[in-house]
Amino acid sequence: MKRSNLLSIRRLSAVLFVITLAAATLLGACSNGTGNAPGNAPGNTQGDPGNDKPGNMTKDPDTGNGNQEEPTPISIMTTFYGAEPPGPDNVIVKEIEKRTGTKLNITWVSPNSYNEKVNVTLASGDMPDLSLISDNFASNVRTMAAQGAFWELESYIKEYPNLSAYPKEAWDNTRYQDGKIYAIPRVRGLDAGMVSVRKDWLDKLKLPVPKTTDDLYNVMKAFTNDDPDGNGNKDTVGLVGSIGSDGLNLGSFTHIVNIFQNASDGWKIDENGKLINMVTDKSTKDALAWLSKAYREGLIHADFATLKNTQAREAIMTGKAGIAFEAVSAAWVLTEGIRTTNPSGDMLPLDSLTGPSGTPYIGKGSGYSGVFVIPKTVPEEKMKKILSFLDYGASAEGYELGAYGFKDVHFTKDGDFYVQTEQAKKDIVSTSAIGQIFTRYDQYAYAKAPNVPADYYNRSKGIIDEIGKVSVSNPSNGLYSDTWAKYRNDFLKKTTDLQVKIMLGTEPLEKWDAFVAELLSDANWNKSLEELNDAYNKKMGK
Amino acid sequence: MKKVLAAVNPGNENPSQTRMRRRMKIIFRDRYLYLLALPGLFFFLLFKYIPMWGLVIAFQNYSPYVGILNSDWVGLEHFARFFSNSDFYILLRNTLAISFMNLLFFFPAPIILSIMMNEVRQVVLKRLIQTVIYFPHFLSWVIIAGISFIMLGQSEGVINSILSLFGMEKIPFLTSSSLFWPMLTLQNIWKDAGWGTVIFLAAISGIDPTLYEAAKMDGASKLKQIWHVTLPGIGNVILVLLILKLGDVMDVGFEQVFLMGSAAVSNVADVFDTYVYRNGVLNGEFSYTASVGLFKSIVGLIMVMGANKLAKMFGQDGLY
Repeated sequence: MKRSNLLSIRRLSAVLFVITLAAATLLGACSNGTGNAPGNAPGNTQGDPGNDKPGNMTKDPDTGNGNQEEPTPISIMTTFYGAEPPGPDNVIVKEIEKRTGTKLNITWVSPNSYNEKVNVTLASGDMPDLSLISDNFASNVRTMAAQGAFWELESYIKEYPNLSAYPKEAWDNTRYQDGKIYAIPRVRGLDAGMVSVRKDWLDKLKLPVPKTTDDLYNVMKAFTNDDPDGNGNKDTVGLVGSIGSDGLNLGSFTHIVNIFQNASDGWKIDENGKLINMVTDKSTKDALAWLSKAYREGLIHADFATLKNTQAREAIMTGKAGIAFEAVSAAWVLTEGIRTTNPSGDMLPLDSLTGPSGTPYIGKGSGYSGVFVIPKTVPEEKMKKILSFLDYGASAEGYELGAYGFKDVHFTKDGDFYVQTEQAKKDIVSTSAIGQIFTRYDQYAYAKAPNVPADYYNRSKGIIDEIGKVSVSNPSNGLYSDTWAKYRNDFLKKTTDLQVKIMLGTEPLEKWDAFVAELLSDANWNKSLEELNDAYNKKMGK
Repeated sequence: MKKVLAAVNPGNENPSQTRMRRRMKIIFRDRYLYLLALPGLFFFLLFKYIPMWGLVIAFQNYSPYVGILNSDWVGLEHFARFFSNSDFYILLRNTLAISFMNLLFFFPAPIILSIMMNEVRQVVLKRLIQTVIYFPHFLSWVIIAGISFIMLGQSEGVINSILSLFGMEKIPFLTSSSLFWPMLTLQNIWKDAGWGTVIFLAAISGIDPTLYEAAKMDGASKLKQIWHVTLPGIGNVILVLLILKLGDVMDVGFEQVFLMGSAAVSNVADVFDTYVYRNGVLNGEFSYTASVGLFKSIVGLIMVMGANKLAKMFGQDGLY
């Protein structure tokens, strides 16, 4: 006691100093931890003085040009493609805010880690007002929807003309088990295409465009052995592709299996009206036999099992391979790549392929890629405001502004095409940025691409029309089963692993029969199918 | 001081109070040191101990929307599902196999390397070697995986191109199950064996030089000197590092296995970490994968404590 009285002021101040230091360290650590999310509020007010501050909006008559309401703040989480996302002071972001009466706080997340980011955000329970969810049927998203975490939107949508103009299939495909709509689809074309072939190589070797899997096999053989690039070396290969990066599907080779199964993504309604998975069907084994024979004969890229999608594309663009299972939109990207070294290069998208079953097959997309959800924590009035914000983005004017910017500043128009200016690149105006929030349905969206020449574009449009006549959709879309959700990844992974090994020849084809027998006797597999069938009947209103 | 305190509070003290007081006094004496330690303690509390409460979700059906407090308790259901899963044995086998290959071949590599470097007499040469072998440690696994793919690929891989130039059969390095574990171990040695020498070289330099002189006087050869002086001199450091390594026996390094693995080798490349990634991060099964993570940590703890006890039984100092 006595001793402490003797503490000199200097010592006391030393103690205080150390405490302050400790506290500062802690605070610093804390603010670093949360600094990730909004963090750009000061930047906003600095960037546009006078316009954003609520006080100015109401009091100053000069700035309020027609829009006297206070802007609604909306926080958004979405993805972007390209080098960097637009900042909060981006000229287009500002213009959209002005026209929609909002104050946007957008968190841009790189597509490489988007899924992880979504899962972490969902787990934190602290969601932005509007979030893009890439897999709306992931089990955690579903659980949250079932628990009422998101706004149920069906009754509101009809008041928004541009949103209700999205194709019915796209809306229907977002429906959950309970038949309700909890999300706004990030709408895409329904018919995306499946496979493209080097047309100039076909012409050179005097081969017809392949119609069946047998034709395709012969083309692969010719591309591999008959020197289609005419350089005198046997340095080309027929087919290149990659396995799904999550290891849960055969990636680009899934399409071949689907052609044999004649079922989109392996799911089909059989003649008794039952939902079946074709993995256990004999056609899957036939597809594997086809693939492993092709690999043994060197018609498939030797490293397919370890290639990444971009590397597979490079093999096409550098003229090392002639066939890729890629959509119509990718066909032009690949062609453009080939043309940098070979001006006559041409990847021709096929409208379908016919397997042993004799019916032409091509899969139909779900009509969207990812969805936007609004959490229930957002009040109803604001939710409506968000919907009208998205509705504006789906209008002709809003979409043009978001994706292409100002006329004559960011783009000039050439028929159906937008020609982007240098300023557009500088201001990061593109479908890869705001175009990830504002989407508008366009049947021929997949035919459009930067720099696509008119003849190529018109051909792609015709092909998309042809695809639309044949394409079939996946009947299991939106169905849910507890057991399936739990064991799905295990099943898919085991299936993919064995399929890849059979393709490589490290496991014999006979192993597949044993695997199928095992699946058919697996209690969880059968239970999943039963539950999915119940769900299907429920969804169909039976 | 004590007398002063005793004079203030005469008589009414029991022994525990005195002990308490003495402890307080020691703390007061070193108060500035304790204050200095405070930020560090806060760090561990905030970032290591408090997050541990999150482990309760391993015993729940955790749903982000309702939060930890309102999620249903399911007891050991997730553990039961995990242990009864047929994959469990494959995961355990792969994890342990990769770990023990590392212990067996990677762990001794820096020891051998530093003993060899200790015998290099030219200082300039020694420094040069050190710099060169430290370098790979600073490359990320992504780059090393990229280099491996370029070297080992089948269609355009450097090694396979050389093999086929001499008319030899191409080897599927990247898709062969039997080559996967050795490949991981070799990558580890290439990347970190040099870096690992830092500690052992420091330990060797701490050995009393007179011991070498005495050994020389007794006519010990270079090898005998290494065996009887150098190795016992760094034995304790080796043991401590080995015990720490045993604690990581269930962690085989997610990045490396994830980047090098593919469907073709999945039967030997699927380990606990990749399983957690697939089910937890990709499929959102937080509770289930938390139980897998907890299992891993417990095994790691048991390994460290067991190894420490074993070391003490053999009369060594151990970790603590």
